[in-house]
Amino acid sequence: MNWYLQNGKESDVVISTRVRLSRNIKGIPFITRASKEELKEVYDKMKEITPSLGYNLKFLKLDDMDSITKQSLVEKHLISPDFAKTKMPYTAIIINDEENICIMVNEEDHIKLQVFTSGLDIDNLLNLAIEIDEKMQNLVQYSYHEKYGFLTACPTNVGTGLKISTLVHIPALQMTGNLNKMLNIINNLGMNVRGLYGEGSKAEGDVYQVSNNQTLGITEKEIAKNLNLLAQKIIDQERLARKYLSKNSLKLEDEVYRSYGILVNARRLSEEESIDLLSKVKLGTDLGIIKELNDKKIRELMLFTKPANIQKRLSTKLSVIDQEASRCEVIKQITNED
Amino acid sequence: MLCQNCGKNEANVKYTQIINGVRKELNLCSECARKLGVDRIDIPMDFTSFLGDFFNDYAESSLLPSFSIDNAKCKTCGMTYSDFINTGMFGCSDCYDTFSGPIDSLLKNLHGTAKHIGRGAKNVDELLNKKPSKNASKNNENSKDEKSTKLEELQKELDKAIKEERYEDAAKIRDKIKEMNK
Repeated sequence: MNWYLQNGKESDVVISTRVRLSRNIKGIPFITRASKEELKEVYDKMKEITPSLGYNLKFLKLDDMDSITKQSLVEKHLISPDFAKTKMPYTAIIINDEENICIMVNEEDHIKLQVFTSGLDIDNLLNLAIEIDEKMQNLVQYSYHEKYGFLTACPTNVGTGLKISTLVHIPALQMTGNLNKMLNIINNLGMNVRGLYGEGSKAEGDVYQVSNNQTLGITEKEIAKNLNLLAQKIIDQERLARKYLSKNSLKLEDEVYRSYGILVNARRLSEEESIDLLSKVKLGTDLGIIKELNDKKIRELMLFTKPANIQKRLSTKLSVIDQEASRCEVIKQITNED
Repeated sequence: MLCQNCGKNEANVKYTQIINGVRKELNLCSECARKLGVDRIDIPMDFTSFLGDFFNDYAESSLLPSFSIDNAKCKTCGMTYSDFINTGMFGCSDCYDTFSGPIDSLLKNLHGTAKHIGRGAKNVDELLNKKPSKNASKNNENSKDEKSTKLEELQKELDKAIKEERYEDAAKIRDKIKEMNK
């Protein structure tokens, strides 16, 4: 089963975790300055080494995918939105069937090695990333500087080249008015936090991405430790806020079941509305209030209500308006499954 | 006029697209415009220069009298200082050395330090570190001598690796020598 549909550790609060290593091949300019031939060189090299890496990885050319497929990968957080739209030649991803390993080729750097898990499991994830990185190092010579470490196109990634990010779902902090306090604390600790959907301080769906800013002058272990600590704090605070909300159980039950009612009975839903409803429904399910759903179904609903994934699931191309009715169809399918 | 995408809401975004001289006009409602991602195109903001401005500021304060950053240009990729200001991205690995003067301040500001302490790279061809062989061909004149000394050094390293029975390393060094002799 694909990682994003699986149940993970602490998954009542943490939706998923990603570990990413930025690497460049020595002797080839970074992609902004690389010629077509040089981009091809990276592309060919990565294609050549894919079988040697193991993990059943497959090399897929980005140009061979239609825009819906690319968008569906963005919705799974496997590739960046910019990468899906890029006009650069010789772009590719190296991916396995479980999709928990996805290496972007010629994105911002020659190599963006990414590994994913649902829930919070930073240590194992980092070990996997390092394991793949070690294998890759036997096959390609990285660009490395004695003083600055692994060199990257953007100086914000230099050094370890390591970015760890977790997606947290924190509706109760928002509902109890503690969200901004939490966001401030995260920022003060030198971590980066942003809403996953939408802009401004309140993110749609109450999902936030927390990641490290510092990549240089810090070891990989320290980055992992810091992120773990911070994630644990966020989990604790969110659970505390949920407990507080549960005290007025009728109000909370009413709120989450209203959302559930609309979600499963509506005949047309926009993406924004479904994100909002799903946030409440997930909260209700995580707290055991909504008995009709489980973690796996919530995960399916969160994925298959996204525009490209609706179209993928139904294997038809749909306009934004047609998607609204199809979204409800998909919701019905998933909620009625055994 | 109603939105041409959904036909539901009043159109209030006019989107004009010219690709290869072919002009297309669409009247959309703001919701559809946002969904189709066309509303972002109109905003003349470039956030990539933020980092560059940062860099600029720090470069000035840490400028050494003998080092004029304005004229600094990366020999390998041709990246100039202003290119970096505009994009916030380096062109190649050698840029880190070309702009090493002010880069320390920038990195200290970004990361609190400018010294890597994490995992190291496997480095069988550490000797090639300063000037990668691929780019050596670009500026052939000055790199010819360097190339031969590098070859000598590599040969020594190869002998040493064989002597110490590090055959995996030896194979890699051998490949490097082959590549350089191409």
